[in-house]
Amino acid sequence: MLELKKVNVRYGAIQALKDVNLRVERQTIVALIGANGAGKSSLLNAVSGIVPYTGEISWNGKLLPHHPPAIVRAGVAQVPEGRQVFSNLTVYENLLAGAYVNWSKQRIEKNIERVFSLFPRLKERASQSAGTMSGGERQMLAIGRGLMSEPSLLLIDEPSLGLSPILTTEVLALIQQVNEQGVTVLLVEQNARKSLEIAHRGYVLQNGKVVMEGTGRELLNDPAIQEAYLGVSGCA
Amino acid sequence: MLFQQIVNGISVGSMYALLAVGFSLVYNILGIANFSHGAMIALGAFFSYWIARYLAVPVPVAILASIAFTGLSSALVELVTLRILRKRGQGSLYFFIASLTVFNLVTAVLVYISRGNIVSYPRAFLSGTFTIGNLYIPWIDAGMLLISIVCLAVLSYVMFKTRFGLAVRAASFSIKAAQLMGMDIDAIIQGVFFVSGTLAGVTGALLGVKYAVYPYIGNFVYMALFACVVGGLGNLTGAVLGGLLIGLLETLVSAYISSAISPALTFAFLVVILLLRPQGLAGRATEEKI
Amino acid sequence: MLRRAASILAISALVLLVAGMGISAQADVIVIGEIAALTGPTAQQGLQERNGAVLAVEEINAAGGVLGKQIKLITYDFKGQPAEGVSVYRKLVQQDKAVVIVGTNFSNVNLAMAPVAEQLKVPVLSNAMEPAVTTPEPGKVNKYHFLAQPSSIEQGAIVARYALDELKFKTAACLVNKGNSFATSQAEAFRDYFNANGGKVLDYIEVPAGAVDFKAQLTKIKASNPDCIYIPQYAQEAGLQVKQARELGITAVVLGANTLGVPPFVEAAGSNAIVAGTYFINNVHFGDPRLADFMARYEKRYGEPVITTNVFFGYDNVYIIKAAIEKAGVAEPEAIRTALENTKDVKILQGAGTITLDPNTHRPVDMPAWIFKWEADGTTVPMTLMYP
Repeated sequence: MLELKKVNVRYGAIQALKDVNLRVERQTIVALIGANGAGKSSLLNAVSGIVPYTGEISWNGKLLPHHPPAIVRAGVAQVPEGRQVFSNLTVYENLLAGAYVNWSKQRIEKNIERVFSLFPRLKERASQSAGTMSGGERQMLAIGRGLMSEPSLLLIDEPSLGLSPILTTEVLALIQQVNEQGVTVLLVEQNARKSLEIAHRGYVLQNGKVVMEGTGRELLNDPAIQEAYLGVSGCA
Repeated sequence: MLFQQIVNGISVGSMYALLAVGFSLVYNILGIANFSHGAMIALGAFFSYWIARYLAVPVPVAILASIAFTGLSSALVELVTLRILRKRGQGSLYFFIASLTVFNLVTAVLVYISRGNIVSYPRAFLSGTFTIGNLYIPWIDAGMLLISIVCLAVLSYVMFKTRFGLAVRAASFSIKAAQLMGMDIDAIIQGVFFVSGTLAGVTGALLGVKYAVYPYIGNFVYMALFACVVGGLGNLTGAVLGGLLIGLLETLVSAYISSAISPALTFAFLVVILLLRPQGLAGRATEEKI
Repeated sequence: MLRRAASILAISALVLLVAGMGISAQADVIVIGEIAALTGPTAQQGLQERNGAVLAVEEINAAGGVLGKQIKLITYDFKGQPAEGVSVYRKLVQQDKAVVIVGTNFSNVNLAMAPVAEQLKVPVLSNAMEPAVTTPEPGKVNKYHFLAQPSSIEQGAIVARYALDELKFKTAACLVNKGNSFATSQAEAFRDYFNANGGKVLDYIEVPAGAVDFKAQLTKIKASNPDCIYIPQYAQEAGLQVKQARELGITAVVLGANTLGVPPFVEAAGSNAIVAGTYFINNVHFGDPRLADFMARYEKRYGEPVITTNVFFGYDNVYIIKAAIEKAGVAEPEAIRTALENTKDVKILQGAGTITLDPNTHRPVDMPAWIFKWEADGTTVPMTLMYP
């Protein structure tokens, strides 16, 4: 279980997260929704140790260190949005980069096979530069790369950014598939409806604070959520 | 005479190339012009000279030892300047200034120690000349070219075939994404400074053998900067090409136009490149760094 | 904040004033200022120059001083910068109340100091060879600047005459540091003399200041295959040029300025073998029996041998000044200036042993210099004493 207790993040005078408490049960998908600047990415980055924070973050009962390499080694990997694949490296090298913390030939080969079976497209493009790929392919690569460290918890940031609705559905289905293989997922997604549909639970962040939580279905049916994030009142 | 001038140009250019590559490595990952590179050139020249003179070891051994020294010195500079500035979240301008300060400081200390004297190696190393037809090629020039090729081959092996190289290239695209892969960014940056320092050190030592050892020898760092700009900042192949091109340009301008105006023309060429092709001759349009 | 700054300034001004009064109050002392290269690539020369001057001052003071007063020598470094030379000149005049200044042998520095000396009216006795230091334009003389060795016109021409008459050379090339008027003024004189007297300068190539690679220029010279190459640069730069010329297989004889008689020249060139056969000019022949006593005195006083000609600059300049002050009868800048202008047959160590200054040019009259040759065993051999 991922547990955040009273987590605060500051950037100078701006407080990005205020006393955030949050839990993600093992092998579930939790969606984090909120407007731009609500603190969603800051929360993921705090867990990944790349922004300083106060408070406690633990995974499976153990406090996570603040050092990114140790966090990845502890089984917590982040999939940043697709533009953050290494476009100066080939697809294959991107996957190697994902395996940085467990650099052994056999494990790399095993994990690459696993990723290729999940995303056959990547296999075709293995020797191609990641910079030449389409948005959807980059997103797949980002997720595949995230799996290379054999994470038990995957933090996924905006997987649908820049994707068509069809591709978004496809990518979210893949995330569900990854989850069914036993990986816990904390998902930040601008498309609140689609992410809540696949999530077991959801949290709503507003101005750095958790303002609401519930199961995916509860949040989907909440009128306030519908108006603010699901575009039910007509401004899609 | 033209062929002799081309030989002269390539011999100068190969050194610029090696300097430019080291300079470019740090620029790639941090987006910062690292002028402490100049300090490492000067230290490389002086360390190997001192070791050769006072420990009385053969010159190649002295050069190897000095390369290790400059690598470590460069890593140390990273630790006491850049690391601290980065942890404080200070901008790259601060590092630029810090690196320039380190450069000037080291130069000033070397001026003090050497009393500003130009000195040469106690024992001849790669001295003399061989001829091919009527081409005169000093052994040191041939040696420098060979050593640059070896260094570049080793560097490209490290960059493209090792875990460290992968991390450096990844971090050069995005430090944040590299950290998310579990890469220890502090260690990687320090490693890059080490490698860059060794390249500056080997060049400094060889320049010291070729010309002489003097405290202002670090000024060759400006040629590294120019070579990088001409080749395309952030592009290692471009840095090599830029170095060779500037070496040839300098030599040919000196030979066929006017040697007194050669520096002016080199700068003019640089300005033209900056205006017409800011991404450099080998560079693609600059991608925005995230 | 501003008020505090103002009061700090006021206090500093007061301190300076008091300090200044303290010095000017020592009326029984004659202050001679010296400007020299105490740091930088030519520090060895500068430090020996100071040693030479100090030795002369010690001798004079021990013998009772000048006009019954002791001489106090204050030496400042110009740190390789002409601007710093100007700044320390002002300091010597305004703060230290020096009545006359000696130094430097760097034409660029004295060229910068000359107009300031005309304003502050404290004379400078220098070894800066560029003629424009004392005569900024034909027919005009800087009243407060003097030269105590053959000018670069004379030195360049002497070397050219030696190449033509003694070495029987017909063709020459000049390689010149464009950023150093010491070099350009000699090279121009060499070229003009050589061309006007039956020889031909095939290449006259200027290189930018600070260059260390001369292969492009030397390759060009090699193609025109001259009998000799004239490189009137400072020692270390010239050393690199000789080294690179030999690397390119150039066998032409190398001729140089009075800067080449020192070990740094050989070090920069790489070895004795490389510099062997190089000729250069110098005011002093260290092995001259006339100087043996002085050489021994210097070595005894400083525990190091005389290596650079600058020792003689420093030493002789102080004695030329002493003669001028005695002639003037009073240690005042204007009187010293007039006396310096009329310096006649004053005994010195350099050249043939005396110096006379021309009131119209402020430069020596008929002061000779030696031509030397580097031998393969690392010694320099005097060939002949040549008059301009």
